[in-house]
Amino acid sequence: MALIGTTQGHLGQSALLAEAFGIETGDAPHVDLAPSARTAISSCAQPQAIRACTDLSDGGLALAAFEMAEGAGIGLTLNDSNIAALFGEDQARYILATQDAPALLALAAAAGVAAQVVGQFGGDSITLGGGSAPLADLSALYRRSFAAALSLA
Amino acid sequence: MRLRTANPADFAAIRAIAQLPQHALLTVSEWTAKRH
Repeated sequence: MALIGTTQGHLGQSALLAEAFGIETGDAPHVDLAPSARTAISSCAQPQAIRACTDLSDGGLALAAFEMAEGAGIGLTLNDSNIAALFGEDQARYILATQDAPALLALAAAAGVAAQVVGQFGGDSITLGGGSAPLADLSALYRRSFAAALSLA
Repeated sequence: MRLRTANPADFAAIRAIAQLPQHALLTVSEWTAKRH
C-alpha cells in the first residue's frame, strides 16, 4: 500500500478530534488544487501498477485505508504509529494498492510526486498504532451505522 | 474534513479505529495544549 502526496499531519478540524474526542478547533487543512491535480494524474498515469485507489479525506490515512480494506474484505497493517500521520487530513493525497510498490514509487519519483509505502493489506485484522481489532468486528460496526443513523436497524 | 461528507458510518468507524492506538489521547491532548 502506497500513499502519494505530502503528509504534514494536519489535525485541525479533523474527524479524529471531532468524533473521537469531541474537539472542534484549529484551521481546516490547506487546499491547493494544482498539486492535488498533479498527484491524481500521477496516480492514474500507470493503471497497470494500481489495484485500487482512494482519496484521503475524513479520518486521514487510517480511515481511508480501513475503508479500502473493508471493501475488499481483507485486513491491513499500517506501519506508522504517529497519530498525526495516521489521522491527519492533509489534502491532495491518495492511497494506492499495488503489488509492485518499487515500480510505483519509481513512477511517482519520476513525476516529482512524494510517495511512500505506508502499510500492507492482508490477514483478518486491522492493525495500527500498536493496536489491533478483528476486521469482522469493525466491518459490522461500519455497515450497521448508516442504517442505525436512519433508524432502520 | 469532517463537514464535507458527514457520513455516519465513517464517524462510527473512526471512533472505533481511534481506540486502537493507545497513545491517541495523549497526542491529541498535547496538540490541544499547544494551541492554548
